[in-house]
Amino acid sequence: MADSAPADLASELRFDRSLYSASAVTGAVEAFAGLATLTLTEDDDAFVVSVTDPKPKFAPVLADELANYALAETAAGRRG
Amino acid sequence: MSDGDELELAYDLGARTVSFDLHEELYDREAIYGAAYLFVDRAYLFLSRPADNHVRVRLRTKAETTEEGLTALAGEFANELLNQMVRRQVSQSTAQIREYTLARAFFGDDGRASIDALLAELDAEELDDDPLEIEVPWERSGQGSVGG
Repeated sequence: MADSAPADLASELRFDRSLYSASAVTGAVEAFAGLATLTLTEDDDAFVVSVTDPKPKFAPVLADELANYALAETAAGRRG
Repeated sequence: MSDGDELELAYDLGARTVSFDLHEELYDREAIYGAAYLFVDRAYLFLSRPADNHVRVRLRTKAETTEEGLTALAGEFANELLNQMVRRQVSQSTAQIREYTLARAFFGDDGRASIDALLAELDAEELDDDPLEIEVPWERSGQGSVGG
């Protein structure tokens, strides 16, 4: 269970399926689609978002903001 | 908070991050989400699973900070986590009485009776002199006291 987190400024974010909802991750990808090339794939354990060619202005925080968005949407969704 | 008594914090000052693991048998998942939701405007958060039934919370500050700053941030998150736990427990323990109170207010006989009594009181009012029901109380009491 790798800890592929935004702090690495990695080009790939792994959102654990048991912790993030699919709709939240999809919503995050759609919300940030204009700021980078984002590719969403899935494997057995995680939703995987690949981030490439971010706009330079947003590059330092893009992955972090995307992850925050996905987490907030997941939390809000569980509140109903 | 792993097996020990204290929160085991892992720092990475260069990345402005502090991480700690929570056991889901101790910390309800909803409480973790509740605390996280309140922190997204202050820090960048990321959740992962280091092991079964464990949630790793990773907090990254939005500005430069020190180890003390990261410790304080993790401490505040832990406090909020406890706050969320207590709120959930109180909510669950009082759910039945809340439902009962609401049901009685909306559907109980007493509520219906009091509404009927109020309607009857309104119907009983003498409004013959004021068919449009636009009279206001001060018009009566003020008669004669206003000059002209």
